[in-house]
Amino acid sequence: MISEAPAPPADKLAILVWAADPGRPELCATPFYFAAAAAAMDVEVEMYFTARSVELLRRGVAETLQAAAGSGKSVADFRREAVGFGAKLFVCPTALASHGVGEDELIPGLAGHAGAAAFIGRTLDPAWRTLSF
Amino acid sequence: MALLRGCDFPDALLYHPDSHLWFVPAGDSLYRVGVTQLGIALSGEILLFTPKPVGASCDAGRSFGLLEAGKTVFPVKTPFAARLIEANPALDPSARRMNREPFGAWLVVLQPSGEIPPGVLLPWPEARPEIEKIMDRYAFRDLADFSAPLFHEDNRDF
Repeated sequence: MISEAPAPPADKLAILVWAADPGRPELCATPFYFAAAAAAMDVEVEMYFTARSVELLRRGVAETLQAAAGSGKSVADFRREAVGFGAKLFVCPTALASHGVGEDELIPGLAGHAGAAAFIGRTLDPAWRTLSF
Repeated sequence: MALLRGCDFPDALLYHPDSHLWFVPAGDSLYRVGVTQLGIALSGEILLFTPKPVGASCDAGRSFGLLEAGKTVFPVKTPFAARLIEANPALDPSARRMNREPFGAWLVVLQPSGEIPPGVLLPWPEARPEIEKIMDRYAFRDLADFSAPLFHEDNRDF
């Protein structure tokens, strides 16, 4: 009989952001809120932006979006909080090209480029859990 | 009971001004921990408290739980290495009671992992100057007319 020791609990979280984009501002704060909550609880957090969600990393875009109209808090504010708690933001270079977002248009402080393979690597790694928005 | 700019600071409690937490000995080297009225006022209305699992060990400066206040999250960090012994069941599923009863609605009971360094937990007279500085930084003149900031630029815990 083969017995395996239970895997240690994961303490890292990778978040895929692909469906929250400037066309649906009501969806755009939640990924950052979840990232902030996890990072504030000492979880290592990475956010992977792809598809049109890369627009949320374009300078000046998230500043104009509010998930809840009249809240006074922009999507950029939520993003700032997530980063402030330690979440790392990665952007997909293929999506940048597809949506016409230039490298020089991106906000400063991104952790780097990462595409599908990087996120899939996280999903297959038992030390990580994943969420997608 | 001391009163400062509309906030109560009971004399029987110890304070860690930077984290806006109060502490009271709870026997067997344990401390019951809660959030000061000032901490709650700076956060806005608190809705949820999610503790780490009972038994979790936290190094000094690490969070033992998370507060959610409207659209913002705040880690609640222990100022000394400790083990989480108990979380207040009265704050599950809603922590709104904290807004009404800051000294009754405690968060957790912590057991220090070792000697608490001197100067970490302060009686009110020693805590007061630091708390006044924090109030000044937020232009906190009185609890009755203070509105919580939407954002916290100084990377405070909450």
